[in-house]
Amino acid sequence: MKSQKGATEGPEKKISRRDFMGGAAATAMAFTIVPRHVLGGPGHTPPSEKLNVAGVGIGGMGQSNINNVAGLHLDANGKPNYENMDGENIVALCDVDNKYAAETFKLYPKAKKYWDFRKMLEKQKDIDAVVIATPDHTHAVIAMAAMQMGKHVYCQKPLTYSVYEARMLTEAARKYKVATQMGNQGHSGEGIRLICEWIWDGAIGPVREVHAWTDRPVWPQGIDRPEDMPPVPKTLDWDLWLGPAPFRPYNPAYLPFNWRAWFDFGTGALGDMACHIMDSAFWALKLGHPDSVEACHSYEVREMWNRMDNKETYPKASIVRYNFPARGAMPPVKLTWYDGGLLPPRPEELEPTRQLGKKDDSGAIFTGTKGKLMSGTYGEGPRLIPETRMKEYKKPEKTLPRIPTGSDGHEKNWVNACKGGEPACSNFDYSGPLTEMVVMGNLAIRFPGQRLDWDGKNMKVTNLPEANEYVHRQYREGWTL
Amino acid sequence: MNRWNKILTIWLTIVFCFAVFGKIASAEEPSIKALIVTGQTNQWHNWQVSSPILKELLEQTGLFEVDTAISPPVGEGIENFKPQFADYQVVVLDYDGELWSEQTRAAFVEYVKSGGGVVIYHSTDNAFPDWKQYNEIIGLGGWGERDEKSGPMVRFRDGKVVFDNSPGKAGSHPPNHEYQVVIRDKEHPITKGLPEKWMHASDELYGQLRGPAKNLTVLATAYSDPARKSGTGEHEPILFTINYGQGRVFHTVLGHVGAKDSPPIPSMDCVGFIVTFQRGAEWAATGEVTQKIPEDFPTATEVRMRKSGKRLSLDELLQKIAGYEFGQSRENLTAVEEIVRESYESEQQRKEIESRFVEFLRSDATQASKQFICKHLSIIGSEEAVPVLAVMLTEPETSDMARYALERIPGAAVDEALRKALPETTGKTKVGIINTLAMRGDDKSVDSLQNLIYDGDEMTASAAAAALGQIANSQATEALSQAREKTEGKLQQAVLDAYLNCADRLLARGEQSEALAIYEQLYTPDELTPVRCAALRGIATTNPEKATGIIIGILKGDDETMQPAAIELVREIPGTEIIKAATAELPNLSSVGRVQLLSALADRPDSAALPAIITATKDSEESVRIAALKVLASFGTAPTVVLLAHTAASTDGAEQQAARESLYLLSGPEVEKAIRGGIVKAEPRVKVELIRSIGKRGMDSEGNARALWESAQDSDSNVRLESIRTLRDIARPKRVRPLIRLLINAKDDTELSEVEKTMISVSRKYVGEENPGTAAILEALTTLEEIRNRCALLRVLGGIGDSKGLDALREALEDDNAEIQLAAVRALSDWPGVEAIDDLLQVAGSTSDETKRALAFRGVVRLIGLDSERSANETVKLYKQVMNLASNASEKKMILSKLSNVESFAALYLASDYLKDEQLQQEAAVAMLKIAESTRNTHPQQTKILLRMIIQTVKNDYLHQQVQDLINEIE
Repeated sequence: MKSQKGATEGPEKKISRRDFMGGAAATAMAFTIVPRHVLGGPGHTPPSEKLNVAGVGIGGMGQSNINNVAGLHLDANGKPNYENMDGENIVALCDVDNKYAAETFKLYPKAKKYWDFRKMLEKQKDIDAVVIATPDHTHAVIAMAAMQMGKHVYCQKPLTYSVYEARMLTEAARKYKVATQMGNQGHSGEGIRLICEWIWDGAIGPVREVHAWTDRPVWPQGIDRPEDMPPVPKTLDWDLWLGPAPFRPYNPAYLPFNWRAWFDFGTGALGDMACHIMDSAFWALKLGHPDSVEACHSYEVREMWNRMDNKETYPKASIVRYNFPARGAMPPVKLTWYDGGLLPPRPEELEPTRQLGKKDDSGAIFTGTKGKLMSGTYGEGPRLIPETRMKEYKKPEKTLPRIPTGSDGHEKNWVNACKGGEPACSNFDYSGPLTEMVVMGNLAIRFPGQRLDWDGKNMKVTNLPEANEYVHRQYREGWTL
Repeated sequence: MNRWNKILTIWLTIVFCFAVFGKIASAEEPSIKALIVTGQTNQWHNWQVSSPILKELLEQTGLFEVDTAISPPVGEGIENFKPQFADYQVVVLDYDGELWSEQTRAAFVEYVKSGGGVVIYHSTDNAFPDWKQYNEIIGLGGWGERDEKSGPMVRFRDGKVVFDNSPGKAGSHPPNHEYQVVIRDKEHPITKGLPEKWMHASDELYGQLRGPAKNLTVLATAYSDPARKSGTGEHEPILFTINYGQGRVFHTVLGHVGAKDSPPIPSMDCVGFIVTFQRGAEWAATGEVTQKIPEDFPTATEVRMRKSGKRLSLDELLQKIAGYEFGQSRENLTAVEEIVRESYESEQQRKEIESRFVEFLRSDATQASKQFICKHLSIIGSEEAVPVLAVMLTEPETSDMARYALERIPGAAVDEALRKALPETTGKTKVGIINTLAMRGDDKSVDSLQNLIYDGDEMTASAAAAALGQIANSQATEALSQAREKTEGKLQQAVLDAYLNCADRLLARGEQSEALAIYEQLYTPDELTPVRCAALRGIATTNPEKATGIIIGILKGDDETMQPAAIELVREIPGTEIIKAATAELPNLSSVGRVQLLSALADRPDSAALPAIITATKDSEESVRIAALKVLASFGTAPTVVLLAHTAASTDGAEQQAARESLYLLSGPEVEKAIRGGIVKAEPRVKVELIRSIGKRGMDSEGNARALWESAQDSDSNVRLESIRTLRDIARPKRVRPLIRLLINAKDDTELSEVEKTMISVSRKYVGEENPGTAAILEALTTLEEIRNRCALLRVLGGIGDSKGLDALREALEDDNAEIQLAAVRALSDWPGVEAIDDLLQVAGSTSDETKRALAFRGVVRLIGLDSERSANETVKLYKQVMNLASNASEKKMILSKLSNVESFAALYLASDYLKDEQLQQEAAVAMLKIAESTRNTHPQQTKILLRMIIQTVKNDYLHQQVQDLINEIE
């Protein structure tokens, strides 16, 4: 059944702002396109005007997000082409590591530079929207502060470090009515939409099993805390880098990249990749909260965990199994995650010459009662297997709205929302619960071999009270959400 | 002043400066092209102040033509900074900032390689930690993350340069202070002719610099006193040279200028800095030094400074000081003083200055300034200054200052002027002039002075009398003799005083009979006691025989007022007669008198007095007995030994103390024999005293030791104990075996414990590889079976701390007997070195016996705190390990207090962990504050974070304030 107004069935069902306004103010403004700024309030920018955007955490992925927002293209040698910039204004750049941020600072000489996002938000009043690409442990405090001041937020995946933070951000985004987006760009892609449409079309029948795997971690994991305590380089503000995490002496083992491995800062392989690889399952199967989660992993960290009386890093390889109850007409489903080189059993249907997953050694397989579907990291290139099944299959009509330029348009998709367009496709209403599910897996990793019964609504592990300590972390003095 | 005059004055000043400082004022044009490179320094320095001074110092020599290359400020295009090094003979670097472009760096290296001269000044050696060739050029550098990877530290130890590769950060300095620089290479052109030691003005003393140190010659070092904060206890290189390719580099770490400093800068005004910098720059440019060493170079004890900037001429200075009032800046006065001091050698200059001063005194300058001038005129003045001073002399406001000058200026004209001024003045002014005449001993003034005694004004009269006493010629003597009769009251006292003084002066001039006449005249019963005493002493000096009679008379008589003075004179009058006569009177004196006389006899040990003194040791008064016992120290005879030992054994308190001290002080050939003899024969308590005296007297000959070995086996336990204690000082390390016998025979625990202590002290005296004490004990352990003795020997091994004994203790830890195990733990806990740490950790971590654990715990904590080779981080690891072995808060507090001595960030971090524990947080915070004093420099950011944790967790306002102060300082 299709709606006349363009809203669709399934999890996508939502009323666009335009429709909403059309309904609520029908007598005065029926059929009129109402620019967002007419709604009033801070930070509402008409589509014709440029947003003033600030970046927090601007090295690496942050720079890429900012360039996409600004419409700045770099050539093969990394040289910027300022002539055809068609995006938003980058008015402020904030980073605690001046060395790692130097390249981005150079690209945007007009943007004001900051060490501390709190000072930036307090001092610079012309900011409409904030792009956050800091390490995982600081996402929530930055995003929350920005939303509380009415700024739109684009935040890298995973949205948060803990389950609790994800829940809080989801609620805050609703409360402050700002446009949000998580940086799982595959969610703007064509592949994930095809997977939803095919599964909803019954291409492989009801799905009871999903397997998802990654080649991560590609950084050192399963290691001890370094013992040397060098001074902090002058280019780094260690206090701010730590943010809400407990104090520990500075060491180059943590940054700029390898923080993902450390329990205090990152979310491991799962946090890095599951928001991509499990995204299609979460959407297509309308997963929500699992009933229980269990994990197992290689032994090497356990001895360290015991010796240190402190869990320092995630294991080198792990398997996480999520058990979801029946959802409406859909039967219960088991979702299994593999990382560190572990793989699901190779499906018999897969031709011997074909690679499991896609070229980067990661992907997902949906097992339905009537067949199997395989795709890549971002849901790209979905195929029914074996290929003969794919050839036979009569694809359904493309009913889900597409995002212009697909995953490359993920930032633009959010910019449009900021200017009053449709909510972005991976806004926190969607990506908050997705993140909850992902980081919930890390709870199980902390307690290998045990089943954690999960009361998702109340964010509680019901059978292992000590696990609840990790649903939310205690912040360092001076930090709050 | 018109323009030409001004130029002329400046020119004259410069010439004058060169003349004064002994510089080379070359008539030729400056010939060395020098470039100062500057423009950036770190936040602790200030090139804007230091560079102009360096430029001026180079120009002062007349040798250098100086250009300055100033880099762009930070962040404004250092890549465009391209000084033309190759155009110069010497490049002086005052730079610590952004890295130069590759091109500039290459040009600099090429410049030095091909023979260019370089001067590295102070914080320039902080620059460019990662630029390899630069670090080879400067030889040594500091800070900027330099550490052992940068190269060794250069140390001056035992008269030679050594490299120290031990790990650690490079660069540190105590707070600014004055320190002595010692020249280590007296033949180098830069240092040749400088005094070997000289004091440097207050400055930073760079320490533990590190670098490649290739082709480096140390010219001078300074000792970095470890008692100061960040002092290294090493002779740090202060001036050195490096040869790099064909280039010559002179490196001076002196001359610190703080970020907020403005001239004057003591470290750069120091003549030592100036001269070594100027000479170093010339050497770097040419390989030779033609400059002479100036007169005002500092000495081994005295800092010498010059004012930065050009000096004003004398006329300009005088103009400036004419308005000087007390309390204002003395800067210009000091400058005048310098000019005066520099003129001492040249009569012509003195004359010139004197005439300016005379002129100045005639002007209407302030009194304060004139007083200053008079002070200096007193040194350089001559008769030429007399007229103006004579005028000032009669004015009450200026009279004193004029006198100050006149009193010291030689010549009859001065006396004449003073005499002339007498009738023209009154009151204090007149008194002053009288005093000055007295000081000058002016014979011609006696006529006037003798009349002034009867002037009517008592002050004037007294002064006149005193003056006559001072002049003391025959006319003055006669005048005073008469005045004694004619005056009364206070004036008479003044006259008597002057008369005595007159006699003293006559005596000093050798006119004995004249002097004696006066003394005898004054030693009459009618005179006041002080006058009589003084007169008696005068008689004693001029005629001792006569004085002896008088003194004995006084001792016999009942004139108690004169007795103390008389006894005092017993000490002073030479010969035996007085002693004999005086001691004969001893029993008849009052107890105070007896004590006084005995003390006097102590200074005059004379056997004639001995019987009386011995008698006095039995006196009924304790104070007398004590005095007598003290005197006996001077009479080293056998009977004295016996007497003192018996007295010590039979008395207590101060009397016993006095007897013992005298026994210990006795000297003479009979004494030792008498002591040894006594030990054999005397009753036990006397033996004890004699034995103790052997130790106190340091009687360590073989014979004495033998006596002790025997008495150590005495039947009386007190005798044994005292002998065992005394053997500590006397026995040799090779004699441990007999001590073991004593140990086996020890009758009780007290004796056992004393033997142990003696064994430890004796063995620890041994210097060398194979300690015979350890060897003897290890041997004994193989045969001895009694548990008591085995435990005792283990404890002794612990006290000796010889590594050879360690294995025996380790073995004993595993012994079947619990007592032996415990003794081993105790011994390891007392171990004097760090070797026992692991054993104790093992015990503390594994034993179930609480006594053992607590002993081992305390021992290991103590041992970790001892000096050792291990790094600070290793030490922190050990403390962390023992933290886990601590069983209660007080043990943890003990560790925190030890931890506070470790200067490392790891220590700070470990301590911060205990802020969470309410029982420990105060101690943790206090430890952190102490550790932070060092980590604030090495780890400023993280130190701040952890200090803030104290404020967040510990409730203590006083601590908060201290922490906040420290945080503010770091910021």
